[in-house]
Amino acid sequence: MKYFLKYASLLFILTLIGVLYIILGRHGSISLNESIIISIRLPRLILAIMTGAVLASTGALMQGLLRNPLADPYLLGISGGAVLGHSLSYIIFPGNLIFAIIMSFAGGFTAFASTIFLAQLWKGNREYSMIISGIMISTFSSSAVALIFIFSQRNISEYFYTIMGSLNIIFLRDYMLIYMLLLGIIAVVMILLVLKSRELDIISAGYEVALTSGINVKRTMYLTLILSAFAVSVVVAFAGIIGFVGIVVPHLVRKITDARHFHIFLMSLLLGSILLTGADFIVKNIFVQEIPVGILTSLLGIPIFIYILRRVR
Amino acid sequence: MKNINLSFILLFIYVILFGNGIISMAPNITETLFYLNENTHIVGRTVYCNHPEKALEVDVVGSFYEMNYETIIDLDPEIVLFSDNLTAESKAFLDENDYSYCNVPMDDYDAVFTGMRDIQELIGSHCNIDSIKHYADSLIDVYKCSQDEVDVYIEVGVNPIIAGGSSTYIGSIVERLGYNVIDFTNKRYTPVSQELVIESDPDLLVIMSGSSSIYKRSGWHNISGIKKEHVIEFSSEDIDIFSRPGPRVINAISILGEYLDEIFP
Repeated sequence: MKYFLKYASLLFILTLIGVLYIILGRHGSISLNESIIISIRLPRLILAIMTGAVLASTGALMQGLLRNPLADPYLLGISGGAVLGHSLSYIIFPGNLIFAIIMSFAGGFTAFASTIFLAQLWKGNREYSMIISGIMISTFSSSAVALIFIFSQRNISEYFYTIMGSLNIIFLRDYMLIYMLLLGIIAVVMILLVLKSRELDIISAGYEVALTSGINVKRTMYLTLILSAFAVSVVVAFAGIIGFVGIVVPHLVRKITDARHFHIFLMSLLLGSILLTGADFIVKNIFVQEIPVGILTSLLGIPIFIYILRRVR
Repeated sequence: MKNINLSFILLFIYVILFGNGIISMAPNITETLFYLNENTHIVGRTVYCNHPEKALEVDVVGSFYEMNYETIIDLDPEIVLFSDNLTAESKAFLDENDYSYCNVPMDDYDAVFTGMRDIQELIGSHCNIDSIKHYADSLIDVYKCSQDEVDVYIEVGVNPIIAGGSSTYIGSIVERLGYNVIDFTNKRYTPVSQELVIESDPDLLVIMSGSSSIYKRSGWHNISGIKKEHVIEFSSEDIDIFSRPGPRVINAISILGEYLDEIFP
């Protein structure tokens, strides 16, 4: 009953924000142009919900799996690597969605593997070494993106909104089937990750405990991390880098739930959706000129991140 | 005005007497320099200055906003020309090293001819700019819009969508041709949401963002201009001409006029 009320409250808030998102236009005015609602706002709302859900839930999952409270797709370099892959596809095959997703996944996964490899070379605090490695990989990725644009004589400002994270993207009617297919795949990935939550509870208690309880720790880790990297790469291919959702939301969720991954994962998924949809509603309707939503999430997320850092120490 | 002319004459005398050459920090300035006097001693250009072909022989000294300070000192130019792209850093560097520089804005149709005259005074040229202007004006009369109110949306960027207003170079030409450019704000270039574009319901869409997906965009099919296929999609060559306000203004008017003639015969 306790959880039922919490889930019901989160769902109610998400529905409320969703309705406002659909009916309200710039500066809070009610705008009910059918074409705009169905073709512009609805797909963007779905993208906001999906992106927030993926970033927050995979952040929660990585924190549990790596037993690192600072882990999240942005700080571990996955988002940066995915954007590097995406930028290559943007230059080589502009407008090819499938190639963009493949390249984003390749970039995101390689960046994540590099972060883990680099962190193992470090001696000292494990939490910090992982984050420092992730930041190094992210910096490398953003420099590589800049180089790609300079060498191809393209203006990097045309990629600014992708680097900073924005949901203001153009959906193409020809791709509607692919969008729905991707949405379905992401939903399946999320379900698979939920199904792994029991195993994650045991792994979080310690790798030795997990081994003695008969769990194939390596397989579970690889499978969940690959699935997470894939889900993150898909949303990055659409929305670019949206930082701090993956670290802030799970920490907020832990304040209202116990340590079980099932609840942390599901509540992060809902709260991540609420947070990003709300943030996108603000950048879309409040400011004179639309700003990338990633700027707002970073501005809100950094103070909370500093608070978490202090607690980790 | 007299003071401005006097300063250009003084600069001209300085260039003739002590000059090592000119550095152009904008593609439209490079085009104008070559157009007005093929033998102008240009010693530096930006990486984007690729027209005319002869410009490619000139050393690259930077991009549109960034300049390589070492190369500038090495070339020791008598003057560096900008076109609304002089940054605070570049200005501080040029002031510090006592280099002459000049900003020649050529933002819209009228400013193109003013800018060409300014540059002409600087380098000396027998080119008759008044006759070019006269020809351009007569071309505009040829292609003048015969329709009533036609609202035009100009897209110059796609990620995010950036709309060009009536005070941009292309906007000023479209307005002179008798069409009404939609100004979403009072800025020349404005990032706009798709919702705003759909709500403004333009009768004609001019796409110079390089995007070829205009008919496939979700929600855009209800825009009047799209329904009637009143869409002008510029080729990369057209975009090149329209993004460089300068002597190719005649080509710009002809290209746009031909497209418009096809849509509104």
